[in-house]
Amino acid sequence: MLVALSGCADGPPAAADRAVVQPVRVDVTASEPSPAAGIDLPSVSSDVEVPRSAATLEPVERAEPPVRVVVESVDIDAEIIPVGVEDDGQMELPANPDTLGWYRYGPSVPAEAGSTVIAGHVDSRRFGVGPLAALQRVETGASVVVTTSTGEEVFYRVVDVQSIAKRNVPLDEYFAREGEPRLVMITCGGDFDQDSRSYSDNVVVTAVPS
Amino acid sequence: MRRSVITGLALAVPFALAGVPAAAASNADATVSVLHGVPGLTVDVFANGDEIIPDFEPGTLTDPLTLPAGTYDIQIFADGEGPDGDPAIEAAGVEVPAGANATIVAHLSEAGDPTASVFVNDVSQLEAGQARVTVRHTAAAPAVDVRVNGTPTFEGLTNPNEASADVDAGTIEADVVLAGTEDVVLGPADLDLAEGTSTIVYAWGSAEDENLDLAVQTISGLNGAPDGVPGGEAGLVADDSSATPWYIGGGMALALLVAFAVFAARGRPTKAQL
Repeated sequence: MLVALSGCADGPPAAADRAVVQPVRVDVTASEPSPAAGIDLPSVSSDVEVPRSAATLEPVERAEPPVRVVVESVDIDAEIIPVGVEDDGQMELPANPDTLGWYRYGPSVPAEAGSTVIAGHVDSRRFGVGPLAALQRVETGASVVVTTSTGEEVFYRVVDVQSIAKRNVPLDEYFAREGEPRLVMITCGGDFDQDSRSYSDNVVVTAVPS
Repeated sequence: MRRSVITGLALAVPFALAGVPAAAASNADATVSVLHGVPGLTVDVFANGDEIIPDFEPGTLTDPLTLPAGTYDIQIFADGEGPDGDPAIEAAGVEVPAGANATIVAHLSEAGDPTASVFVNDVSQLEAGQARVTVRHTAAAPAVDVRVNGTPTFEGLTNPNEASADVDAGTIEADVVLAGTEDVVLGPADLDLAEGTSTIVYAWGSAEDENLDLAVQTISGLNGAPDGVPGGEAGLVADDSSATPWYIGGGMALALLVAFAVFAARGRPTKAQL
């Protein structure tokens, strides 16, 4: 009950960057080549030199994170911090709706491919209503400007505004790392269920580079 | 009964075929990478008599190749000695299953003899925020434990076997010790495990020759989406205007306040979890 009442705003701190690995006893699997009759051998084209490289671990490239987003047409001007995933599998969001979260496992801006996701609470019992309450009033064609930590401004044009029942939200699509680069802004909307303390819908604005 | 089953199949097959995008790789293909883990020997790799990788140096890994699924005779010759000489390593009847993502590793056996093994790579989708780490023992060395951040995580691993786990993405420190001991034979090494990526670490070389080393292969694109975006919690901007604001509707909160008051009045520590 305490957990239910605390809601996401007062929840546990953000997931640490350092991986936590529980000791596990893992069954090992034999992987020796299985003997088989050498029949019907496929032939292998050898026309092209096979690219190869040293089998070393490269450091993960860290993108410059987005730090601010402005949607002038509806007076959204909000700070952004990097976020990850909560223990329950939901996207982590800053407790204060005035601050938005950038899904740091996906691309930053400008993305070469895939979806840059910026999301935030629409409201909070502690902090009140946040700027993303205006997200559902955004109109197609509106301009969105995202600023990175290096001060680079990346411009987008809204192509889609949706309010979708949460169970129907195509999360795989909105969080895809492939496809044309796009900016996806997500918050909550629709009806509010007092028991679960959650909204019925996600409000989702999709924008493309302009 | 039998008749209807057959009819169903006849209908299903053309439908399934129609659903396959023309550009997709054939299902009869496999994705195969090749890792060279035999110290001190530059080789040429032949598959079914065709040279597929010339001048292959120890510690290097090919990009993934698309090969027809099937059975392969792999012959690995010392550089320039194939295909008519005696291969340094020969693995006949290596099964490469359709649709599989596999890595063929030329390596030393536990006893130090050159050999080859095929490992099928787990490319199943990860949960959001997770990374997959796999360790493969392909070294001339006895059983080992792999410790992650100081804790034995993969225990009793022997050549040519593997162990795997899905973990939170981030940096881990890994080392390899002789099984059941604190004797470090490799590492420690920092591994930056990228989210949505499988990182496969090979121990290769020879303990006796003191040239044990780590090789690393990564497979990206296994990322999954979060389960949802819980973007609000107070109902202050709800569409259903009849919704009661939380501070009035929160009968549970009132009950909790009462409970807290009772709790405090009983003289118990007030460091309750509120």
